[in-house]
Amino acid sequence: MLSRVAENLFWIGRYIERAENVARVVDAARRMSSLPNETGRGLTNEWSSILVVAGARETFGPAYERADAGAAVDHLLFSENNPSSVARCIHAARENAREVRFAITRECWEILNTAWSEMRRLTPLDATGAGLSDVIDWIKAQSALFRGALIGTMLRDDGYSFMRMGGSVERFDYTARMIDVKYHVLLPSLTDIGAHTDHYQWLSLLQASAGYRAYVHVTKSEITARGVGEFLILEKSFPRSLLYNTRRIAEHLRNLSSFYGRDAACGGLVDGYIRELESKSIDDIFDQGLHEFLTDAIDRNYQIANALANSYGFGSFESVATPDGSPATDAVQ
Amino acid sequence: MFDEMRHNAELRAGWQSVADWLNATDLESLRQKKAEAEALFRRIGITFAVYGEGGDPERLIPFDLIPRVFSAGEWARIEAGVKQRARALNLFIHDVYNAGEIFKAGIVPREAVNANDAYQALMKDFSPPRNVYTHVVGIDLIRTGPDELFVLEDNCRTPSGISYVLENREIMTRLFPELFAGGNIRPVDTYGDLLRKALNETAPENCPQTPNIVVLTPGHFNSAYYEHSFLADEMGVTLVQGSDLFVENNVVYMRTTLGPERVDVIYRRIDDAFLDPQAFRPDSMLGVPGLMDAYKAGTVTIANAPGAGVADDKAIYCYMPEIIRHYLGEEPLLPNVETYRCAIPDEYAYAMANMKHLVFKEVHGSGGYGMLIGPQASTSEIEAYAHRVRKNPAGFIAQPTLALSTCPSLVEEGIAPRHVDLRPFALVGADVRLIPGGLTRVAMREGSLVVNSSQGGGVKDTWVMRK
Repeated sequence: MLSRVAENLFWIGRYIERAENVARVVDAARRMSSLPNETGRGLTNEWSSILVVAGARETFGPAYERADAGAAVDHLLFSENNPSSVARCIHAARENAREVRFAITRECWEILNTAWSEMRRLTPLDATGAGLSDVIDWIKAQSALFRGALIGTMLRDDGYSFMRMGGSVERFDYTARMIDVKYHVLLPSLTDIGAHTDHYQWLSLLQASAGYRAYVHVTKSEITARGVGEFLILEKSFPRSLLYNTRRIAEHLRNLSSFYGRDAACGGLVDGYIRELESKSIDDIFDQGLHEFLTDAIDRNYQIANALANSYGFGSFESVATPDGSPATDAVQ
Repeated sequence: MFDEMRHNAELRAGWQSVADWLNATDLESLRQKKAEAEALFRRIGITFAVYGEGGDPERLIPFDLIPRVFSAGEWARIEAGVKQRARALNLFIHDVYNAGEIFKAGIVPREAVNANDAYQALMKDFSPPRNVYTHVVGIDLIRTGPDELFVLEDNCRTPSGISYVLENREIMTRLFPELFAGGNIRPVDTYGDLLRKALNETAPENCPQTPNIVVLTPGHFNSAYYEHSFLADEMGVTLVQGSDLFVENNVVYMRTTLGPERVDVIYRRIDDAFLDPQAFRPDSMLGVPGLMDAYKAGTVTIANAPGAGVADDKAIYCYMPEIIRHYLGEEPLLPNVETYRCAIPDEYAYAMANMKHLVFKEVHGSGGYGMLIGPQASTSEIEAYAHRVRKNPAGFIAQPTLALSTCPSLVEEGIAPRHVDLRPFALVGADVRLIPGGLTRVAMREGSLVVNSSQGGGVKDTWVMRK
């Protein structure tokens, strides 16, 4: 496979996952903005926090701290100036797919192509009021459709693995940022920890990750910061957790090794990080400092993506994706 | 005016099933089906890209639902004529770059070739495998009567449009399965196999492996990008851009996830000028530095060959009947359209005296641009054009305005006759092969004779009947 094609496929996986994740954090903010508020004062602005999670602080500009729902939704879903807006992600996924039109199945292509043309018809007006949930659902549905077509129609060859790894790298990144922002930005003050607000914020994050029922199912206990942290970081059966996604990357690297008959240089990096995660308890992580742990996790994920690209002959990423920085370089400019 | 479906009020051979279908279908459901067809084209992404004009960057070529039919007998004649022409064109190009016998014999003046921008001096004294230069030839045909078929133009560089031929059929079989139920319409879906076969047969002789074929595209912003990726997929080969390839020790490689992989045949869909910045345009970002050195070292086949365009401009076109006689010792099966060369004083005088009856074309022009259609032009338009011709007579030819045949087409007013042409694609390897069919272009505007897609032309499915 051409290295360029591998890169395109990897980024299709990333962009579609990113579009879904942006929709999910917008959904989280939507839920938070309707939370009961026992203190009588406004919450820390959930919309500005969500701009930070989505890496859109820079593109939104200095007014992000006072961002309201309309402006934030517009920026996150529709803006042409935000390279991670859902519209731009879908466009980029579709352009990448167009470049490698026949490295993916017709079904996969048609879903991206149709999503792109429908997205072009949506306007910020469609995402106001009750329409916001509809638009979020639509975005999540596109991602699910694409994933379904991928799983159902793609040959299990190298191309499949590159796309799936792109999805896992992106999802890891988002889950890590989301927890980090919840813990360090969203919280009004230390006294609020354990208060209703805190509880509902964690709940919203779980709901946005499609993890609330799963959390209850797995832990059979109430929502606590440690419980949710453990679930989103270390739960091996939860498909949006950090450990789960790192394991999937390792799995696809093994598939590539057997497909190509040779090991990639980046395999050791991934296996090492998995062993590290598996050896940790949530208490270790909180003792180390959640923020420090997450900063390291985001960096390790970035290094893995970078090593992966180098192993298979596509370029290196120019900038580290950090919670407040802009996302890594795009395959299609 | 010759209508291909009904001539002198009689239904012509092969058209019965189309006539029955049109009789049984009302206009409204045809329009409904047309909308469905367009939705399918969009969803599949069969579009041509138009950037920088505003509006929709990806447009559909107008697709007319009503097919055009050729009987088995009609097709046999077209096929033989196109094959003959493709053979002669390749022999001619080889001669031009080697012995030049046709010049010595006084049949074609050497200047006619040397004056052509498509002439590539670095092809001199070089012979590609099997002496094939134009692996894919598009021969544009027009028709004026039941037996009156003419070659309007040869396309020896990178003729395009084949993806429409295959996709039009795909859409038609999907929308109207009942029309194809009898099994009397010959399928066209072997094109990818035939193209791969031709490219395999013309791979470098000492090729160390099963030839590794790639399709070279300028990239996804090119208007014909869909076709490039479609052809790569039909052949089951890799679609590459210039940046995916590199040359080392005169061997071409592509960059893969497993490291460099040798490339043996490049079906390129970029112009000569962009192939290799070291040999041609130094500012080309699309090409591969060193490619021409590798080519001349014989390690890689480029299809179509650089410089193949010497054979397809309108100055050489005039000599095609003699070219066919010279190399093949045969009479041309498909005649040329009568052509007046403004470079020749007698013919120039006649053309200038009859401007309002003739069609004028630029010798190096294409795409329906830069033409004058005398009978449809105003006096001032004719005067302005005459001024251009007088300044550079050798740059122009003139032809009689032919009454192109028509086929029934679905338009605003209902079903009405519209002018058509035909581009069959000949594939040249060890042999010359054709799929039964070709690209039918249709001028959708009433009375228009210009079928080019850049001028609002559409396409039709083209049926060749088994019997």
